[in-house]
Amino acid sequence: MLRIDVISGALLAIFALLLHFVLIPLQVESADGGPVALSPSLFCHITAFLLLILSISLVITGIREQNPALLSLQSREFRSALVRGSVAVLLSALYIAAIGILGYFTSTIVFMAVFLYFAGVRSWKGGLLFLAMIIPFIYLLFVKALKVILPSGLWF
Amino acid sequence: MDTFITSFSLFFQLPVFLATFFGVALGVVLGSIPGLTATMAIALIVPMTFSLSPIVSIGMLIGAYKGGCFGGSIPAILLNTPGTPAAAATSLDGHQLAKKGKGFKALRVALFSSVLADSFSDIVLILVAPPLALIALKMGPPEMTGLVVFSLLIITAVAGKSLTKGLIAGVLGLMVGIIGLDPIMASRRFGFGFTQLDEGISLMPMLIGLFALSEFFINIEKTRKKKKARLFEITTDVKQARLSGAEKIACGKIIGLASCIGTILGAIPGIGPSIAAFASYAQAKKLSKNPEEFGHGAIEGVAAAEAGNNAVAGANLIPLLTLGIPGDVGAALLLGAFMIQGLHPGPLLFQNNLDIIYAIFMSLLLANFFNFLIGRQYIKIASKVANIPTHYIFPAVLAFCLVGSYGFNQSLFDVWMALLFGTFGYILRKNGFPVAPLLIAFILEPILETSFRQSLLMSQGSPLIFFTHPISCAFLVLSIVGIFITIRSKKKHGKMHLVEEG
Repeated sequence: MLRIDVISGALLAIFALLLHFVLIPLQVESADGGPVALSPSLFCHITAFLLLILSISLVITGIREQNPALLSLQSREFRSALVRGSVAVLLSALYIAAIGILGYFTSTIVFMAVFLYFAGVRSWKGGLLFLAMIIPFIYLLFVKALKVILPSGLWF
Repeated sequence: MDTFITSFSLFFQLPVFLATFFGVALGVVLGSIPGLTATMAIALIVPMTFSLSPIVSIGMLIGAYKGGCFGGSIPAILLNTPGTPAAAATSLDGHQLAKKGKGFKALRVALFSSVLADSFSDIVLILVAPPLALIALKMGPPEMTGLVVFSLLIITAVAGKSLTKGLIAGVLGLMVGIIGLDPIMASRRFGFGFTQLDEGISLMPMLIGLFALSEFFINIEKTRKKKKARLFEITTDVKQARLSGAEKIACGKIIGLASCIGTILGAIPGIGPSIAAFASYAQAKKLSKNPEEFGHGAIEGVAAAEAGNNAVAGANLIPLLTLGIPGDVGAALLLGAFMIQGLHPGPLLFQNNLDIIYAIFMSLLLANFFNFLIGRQYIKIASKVANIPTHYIFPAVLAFCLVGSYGFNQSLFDVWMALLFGTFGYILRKNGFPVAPLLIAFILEPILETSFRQSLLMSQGSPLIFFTHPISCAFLVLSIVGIFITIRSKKKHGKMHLVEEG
């Protein structure tokens, strides 16, 4: 069993250090010789420092806490939620990738069907009714009323 | 006088009335579905406002905000599942009344209390905002820095259960706000080779990702496990739902008190409707002639919670419109919508666009009127609409999120950003970090960084400038006091919790 706050704090502290020593020097110019207030990296360093301090504080409070939130990879419920959440994120990424290839409406029809199944809908009539309502609604609202040009892709 | 005439011509247009009506209706319906909050209603509506004029779109969003606040009370009363976190206090007595067959009566009282308290706070906003904006105009960079630091600290301190996690979320929001061109030197920061990031992270994908997509991921985790809950069916007989003379007097007093509490608390950045609802409920219990009925179906309890909760809606716009500082996440979303329309709330808006401000004031009052009209009819069918299964709702939410994040810039890059922030928000929320401070800090970052660096330029690099200017110093001292009080109250609350568990 791992304490969630300790892990979160430690990861954020590593990120803050990474920002300070790697990302800010690489990605942000510093004002050499000029007034410190003109330096584009000033505020970046201040926020990274604040993040470091707060992350360490989170680690300390996480260690001290008497009744901590625990990360239990053995818990079936936790694993199931983690898997379902990760699958949903992955499917959403595939959906966006498909928008660029198949077009918005084709990919929406395909992925809405997938998501309905994933959410527990087993009635094909319910699924069809859902699609028959949502697709025309989006078309009328965004394409016709708001004049948004949605990606057309391979088909339409 | 010319300003008034212009604002009337801006306001008295059919699209403004239709959009406000549509916004209220959508807010009430979405707010009444458990799992869909008023915040999510606004996040889903914002993409629909891209091509609308500022008054039309602001009217629609304000309508959704107000409608969503009231809509949350419906499942709180009928299902004991608050549609919005702020409606939790309403469920204490509202659901007990529904169990006794008085659900319709509770819903009617919730509606009257919401609309009356909301109208009261709107009138306070209209009276207080213009003089406050005049004072705000006189503030220089050090004062602005002090004010933003104060607001951010208060907002992050009260958001979520842990002070440290709220502050971390705020700092992460500042970091996201840094991405893009430097506000003073115009050099690139954290571009990672993407030219799309030169203007910074777009607000729309971030907003949709953090609030709507992360909610989608959290809900899809459990949709298969959920058993279908049935709401209490209600008899819509108006005669049965009428209040007695004594109840009318008692509720009237409570609504007046709760409106004042909600308005005062709502004007302070960070104090959201949940705190106002519970504070009003506690005060009403103290003042009531029958305090023992509270928690067992007291109609005054419903009136207090709903009036306190909804009085925040108007008052929250006081810091937003006068200082450009959103009081809570709903106001932050409204601020985002203002910015998308090219309007920057703050004292300068009062100086340069007073006609728009007056038109917004009028649309606030119009939204209350529509809230009453729509709410009165909707509560009769609410038990049917609020029963729509969530496994149909959330896939639809995803489709709207993606098309909404694409719509503003018509770029797939923004859709990927929405997914990135959705995943980020999901991870943060799963680990107990609130996401509201992240968005508010992101919005306030340009003001904070610019005023902070301008102050340092004025003082030739000395940070003492923040302590030598009285207003700035007062804000910083208030920030420290605020944090100290929050730490103490959270410790006290934690100890009470341990004792209760023990």
